Amino acid sequence: MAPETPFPQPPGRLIEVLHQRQQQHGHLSRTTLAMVAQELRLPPAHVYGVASFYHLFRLTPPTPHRCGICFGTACLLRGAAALAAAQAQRLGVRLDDPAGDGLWSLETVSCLGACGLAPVLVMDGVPRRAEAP
Amino acid sequence: MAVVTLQVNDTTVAVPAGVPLLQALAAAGVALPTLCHHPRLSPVAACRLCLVELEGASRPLPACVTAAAEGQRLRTDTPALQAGRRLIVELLFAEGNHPCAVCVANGDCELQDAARHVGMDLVSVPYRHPSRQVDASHPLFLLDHHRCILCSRCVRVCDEIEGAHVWAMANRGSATRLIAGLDQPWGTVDSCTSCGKCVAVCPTGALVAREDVPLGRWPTP
Repeated sequence: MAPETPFPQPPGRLIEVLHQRQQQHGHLSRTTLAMVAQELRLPPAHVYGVASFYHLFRLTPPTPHRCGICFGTACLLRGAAALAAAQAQRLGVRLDDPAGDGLWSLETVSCLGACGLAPVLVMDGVPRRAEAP
Repeated sequence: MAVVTLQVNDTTVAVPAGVPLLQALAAAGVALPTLCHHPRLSPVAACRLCLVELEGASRPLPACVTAAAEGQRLRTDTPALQAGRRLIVELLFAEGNHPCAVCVANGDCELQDAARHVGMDLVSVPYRHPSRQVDASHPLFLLDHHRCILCSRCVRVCDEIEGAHVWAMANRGSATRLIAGLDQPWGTVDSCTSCGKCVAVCPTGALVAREDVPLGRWPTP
């Protein structure tokens, strides 16, 4: 069970609830979205519209492992683009293809606020400094 | 209600205070094309076709959501406004797939009217030719995403008047598209009452009644 959090009242709490469900299930399936809509008494189309609008919500199951490359300004200046290309070649996946090779996927992420580590690479949720190729 | 007088292209008109400037334009006999605007629905000021220049304002303002006030002087036909309006219509044509000749709405289409209004004889931007779908799952109506300009009239009429909330916009940017329910075939959305209001307000041929489409062209679910 997720800890009780003081959510704002619906419909304002929709995004919070979506975050919570994604944390529980890894992604937001149609079934999950339908349940959220029913729970918050919101139109299903509206819930889907919000969930699909934000990049942080995943509507398809993620690969078991995920590699993120920060494309924030500091990271870009320190070679994030080249790093992403090298990493794509190494893993044999396309950048920002959520399906990846079934095991790994490679995505770009926005600034993580860890600019001191630039260029930042996120391995399964753990940010770390990477060497630009 | 207080009445205000204002000037539209040097014509003086009187309208109730606070009404949208579009009403003042109508009173002055100036017709601007509008696509997202519908008099019975909440305004979204999304299409930007009704932009006017208001004296003293730092930028053009959409007439559909700008309130009429005493002494306003506005222009609707400056070269900048005309060029901008034409470019907007060109972009709408380039963004979707709009072959008028084979469209059921040909001759009864607000996008076509807008193109005629701005004098569009050529689209100066490259066509995107997006790959889109047709949803023929509803027994009475058809949805052709190729012809959708994302004005959101259908979303609003279903939400504000019918109260069925069938429609929404999904994704963002150039991937934005109209969805029914949880991005499912329209015919499978339980809350749809088949009232046809969305079809009635659609400015293009994106939402049409089956009976208006020549027989035999579409399969029936």
